[in-house]
Amino acid sequence: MSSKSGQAEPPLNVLITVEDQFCDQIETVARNLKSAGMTVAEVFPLSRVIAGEVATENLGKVRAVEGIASVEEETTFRAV
Amino acid sequence: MARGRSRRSEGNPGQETAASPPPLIPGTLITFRPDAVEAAVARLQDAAGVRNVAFAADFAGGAVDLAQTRQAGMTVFNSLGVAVADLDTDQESAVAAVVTQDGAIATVEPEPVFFAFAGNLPADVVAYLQGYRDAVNHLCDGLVGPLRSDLGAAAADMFQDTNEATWGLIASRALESRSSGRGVRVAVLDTGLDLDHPDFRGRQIVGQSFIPGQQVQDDNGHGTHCIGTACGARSPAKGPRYGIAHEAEIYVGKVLSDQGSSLGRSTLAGIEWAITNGCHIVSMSLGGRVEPGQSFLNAFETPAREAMRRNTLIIAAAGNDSDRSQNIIRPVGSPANCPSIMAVAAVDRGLRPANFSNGSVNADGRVDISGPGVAVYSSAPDPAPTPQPPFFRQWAAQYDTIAGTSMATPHVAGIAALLRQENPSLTAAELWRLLTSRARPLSQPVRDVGAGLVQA
Repeated sequence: MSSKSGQAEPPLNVLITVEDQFCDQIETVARNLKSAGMTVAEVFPLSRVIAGEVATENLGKVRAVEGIASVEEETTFRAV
Repeated sequence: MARGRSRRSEGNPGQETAASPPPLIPGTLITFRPDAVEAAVARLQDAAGVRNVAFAADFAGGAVDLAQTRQAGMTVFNSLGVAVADLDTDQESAVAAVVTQDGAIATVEPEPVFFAFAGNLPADVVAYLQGYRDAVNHLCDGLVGPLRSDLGAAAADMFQDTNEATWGLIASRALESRSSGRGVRVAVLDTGLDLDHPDFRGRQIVGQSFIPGQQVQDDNGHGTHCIGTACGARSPAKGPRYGIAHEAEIYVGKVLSDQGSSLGRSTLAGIEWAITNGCHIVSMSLGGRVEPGQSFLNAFETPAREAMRRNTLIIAAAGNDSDRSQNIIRPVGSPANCPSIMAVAAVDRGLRPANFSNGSVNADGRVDISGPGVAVYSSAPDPAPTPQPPFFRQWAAQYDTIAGTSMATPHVAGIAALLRQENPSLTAAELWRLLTSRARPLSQPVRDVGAGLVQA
């Protein structure tokens, strides 16, 4: 898609939740996510969540990393 | 971590008077196939870690002594094929999983609480009856139109600010409470606090910014207003009282920028910080819009469950996306739509849903409770903060009156702190149930106001 239009799509901000049984290995999961092409911004061990950016073409590889429960687009929160 | 619930009359002796019996906290009712009770109990002990099992058959004549079984995690009525268990949220999930895997355990449901019908009906019975009436009224209105007398009543504001206190403190009965939130840690995750505000002098305040390059000091106004409602002074420098838990320890987590927004990761960082610091209550007047049919985010439900497990109750604003005057009711926003986060709707001075307040449109994003959220007077930064997008609102210095589910949320958080002080042994899940069971039932759809108006 992006290559055809000639403009790279901006990377997606994502929140990745790690499966319960991988909670003690969240740093390993984060390293594997980096290898899969994700830029890891923050690791939240209590929450079992890893925040970062992924190029859309790498989303499939990121989803395939062992120990991933969900990959969700990170939304912006506002004062309401 | 003592996860067992102190339920029924065991609660907190000395905290209750004869006039106000302790809250009834139901357990979980598990039904077995009568020929497989022993095997099923063994499965529950293995899978869900249910300990201290008492068997009715062990009591003389099968007459269970409830005073003795209060210490038990589960009481099994062998001949009935039924058990009543005290489970925490993790155990509830584990038991639910066993039920789906194993046919020996037939059903799992909340233990019903029964009442003798009398002149003064219990609040939840009243809520049920009012819900029934709402449904009938809704049907009637739809078919034949609202009655004139209803239109007249709907125009009246029941509450006003007085010289003594804001309408929200009066309507929520926070003004009548003798509690102060002393010893309770309340985290408010927002745009920070005006640390120089005269009404917060001498208070125990811990602050942390999760916004790169910005300090805890609030140059938006929103955070100072919310913290004022939840934890503001009993006797402000001037004007009426507007704050509820006036002796609570305040944890100011700046997770929204001075421009009033941020990526979700800042809020996650704030939640982890609040849990790590042992905060009992987290108030989040923030969120993002959710579409009909859209589910909650795992990335917030997971930490919210962990928070509950560690005795931190997270309370969040349902969001302001609706326009009820145009019959537009939008779903509860994110992250308030997470099942383990208490979602707060806003009502006005007539205890009607605020025009902007979101509703239980999605099955998994329900409004749990309501708070005063229209014409809410509270603290504001001094000097007045810079007007910020998207509305570039001009603030008044020191005090201001604004509206939003954001303003309703800290009313609930402040009252949660009062109740936590009165009942220090409560788990976060029990505190949630106490808040909803004490709420004032409203003659409005549960979809819009949940259990009703929060009450101290």
